[in-house]
Amino acid sequence: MIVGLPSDVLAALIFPGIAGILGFLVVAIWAERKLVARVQWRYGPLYVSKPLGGFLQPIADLIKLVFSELVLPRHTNRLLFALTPLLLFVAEAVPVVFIAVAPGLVIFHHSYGLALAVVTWLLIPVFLVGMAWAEADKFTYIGAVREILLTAAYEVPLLLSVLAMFILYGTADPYAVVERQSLWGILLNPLAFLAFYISLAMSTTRFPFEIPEAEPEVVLGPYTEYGSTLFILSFGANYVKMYAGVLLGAVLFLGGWSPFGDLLLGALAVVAKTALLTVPLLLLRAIYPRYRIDQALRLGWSKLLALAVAAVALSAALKAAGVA
Amino acid sequence: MTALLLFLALLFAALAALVYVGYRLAPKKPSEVKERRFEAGNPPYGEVKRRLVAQYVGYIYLVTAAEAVAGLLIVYALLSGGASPGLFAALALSLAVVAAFVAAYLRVLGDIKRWS
Amino acid sequence: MIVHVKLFAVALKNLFEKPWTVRWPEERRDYGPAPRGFIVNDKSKCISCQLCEAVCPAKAIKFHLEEDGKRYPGIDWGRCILCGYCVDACPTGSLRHTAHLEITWDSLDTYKKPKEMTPGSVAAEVGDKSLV
Repeated sequence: MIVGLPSDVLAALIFPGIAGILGFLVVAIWAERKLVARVQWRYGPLYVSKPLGGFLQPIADLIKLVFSELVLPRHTNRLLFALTPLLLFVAEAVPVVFIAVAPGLVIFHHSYGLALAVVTWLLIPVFLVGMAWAEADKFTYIGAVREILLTAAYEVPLLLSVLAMFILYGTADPYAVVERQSLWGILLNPLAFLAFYISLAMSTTRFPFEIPEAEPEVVLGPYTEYGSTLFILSFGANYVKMYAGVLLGAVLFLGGWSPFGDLLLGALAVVAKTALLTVPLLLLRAIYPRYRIDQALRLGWSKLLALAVAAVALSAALKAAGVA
Repeated sequence: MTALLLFLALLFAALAALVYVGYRLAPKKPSEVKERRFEAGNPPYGEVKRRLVAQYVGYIYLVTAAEAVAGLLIVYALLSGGASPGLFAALALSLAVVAAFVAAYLRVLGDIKRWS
Repeated sequence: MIVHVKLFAVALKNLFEKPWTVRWPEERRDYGPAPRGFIVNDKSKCISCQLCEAVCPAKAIKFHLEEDGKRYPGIDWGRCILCGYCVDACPTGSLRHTAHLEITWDSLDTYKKPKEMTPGSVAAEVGDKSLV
């Protein structure tokens, strides 16, 4: 126990808690811009801190946005306009409290913790639609409808891929899931990992599923009317959703904190695995074009559903054959 | 429990403090153009109401049913410890029914002329 | 299915290649000794025929009465597209391009009068030396 605090308070404050969320926001935004720029044969942000490769660019953007005028429009409920991005940000951080990143380092331990994490994950679009409704704008309305439709596409494959892993492990306890991974989940059931990863890309609106926030179609979708610090909250909330999702993926599929057993090294192992899962999600922006909403819906219900059902069948077969 | 409440309260307080600091530090020069609705350069006209385009509502009906089935399967799997003949039978039956239904009606769901 | 793996492979290959963009002003591209840059007018050869004003597609050239009683062209650099039609149209060859490409101004007044367009008024920085 470092610093003498109980380990769940340490988890709440440092990792996967507040410092983890804010650190991930800064690093992920910089990494996305830099990686996408390098794939496109250009430099990326290089003006602010050139020796560091432009790493402090998100901090500079944060300072610029803090000093921008906070505009609350007249035509809507101003309290809700300012409050719903905060609620969205906090709601997108809730799935993180159930996930354990080291033996003892979990904010709220529950024996069905990971199932609760998935359930709270699926409740996030409610807050997004509430925020879009509070903005009272035609573009946010269209963005909210697209977000609802996209949720209808990825929810069932996400649940089925998580079901496949729950069948294999037999439990949803955040510690037991890691301890029962004698072989990593991705090697045991690669179909479930693929279904989970594509559902994660759909859920956090990564390309090719960047449909609610499609800039040529709806000007930034549900986040259109926000500027200044509220923009940081609403747009940064998208990255927090990605953080919660890749943490869940690292614990379910990449073995969590194994092969280490203690707190510090286990947490560092989870950090490395989170980074490993995040980089392809960020690279997707440079690789794929954007789907239409009906193409995404059809994909979610034909190929992705088939993949998830095959993953569940594979899990059941493995369990019946006595593996794991 | 205390860690959970501490986490949520601290996160909310930090974000509210960020918004408040931004509000105090930034200039306040309200004007009519800034405070009206954003309409991509045009002056806003009409109400924000639109007819809800219900072309894809078939998918929403489908996901409401299929998600309930998947949720119940997760509960059954967790309560039975991941391996029981009843679980496998329930999995096979329910997923076969869902898959058959989707396969039969996928073309109808995507045919927007039927839903609009 | 294999096409997705190929897409990722191409992206990863691009990730490790050198960028194409030029970090101006520390790096510059070398456009050779005679690019079509800032246009200057040699008043001793100009006959004020106004062919350059007639042929300009962006209507950037306008004529001014100077102190010696003759009219000379001035160019609005908010409109000029460096197409070179005026230089080609000039019968005496008094309008010329120089190699000066970093044409900037620090106010919205982008008009260069005839006395600001003499051949000696600009110094071209040829080559790819850094400007910082």
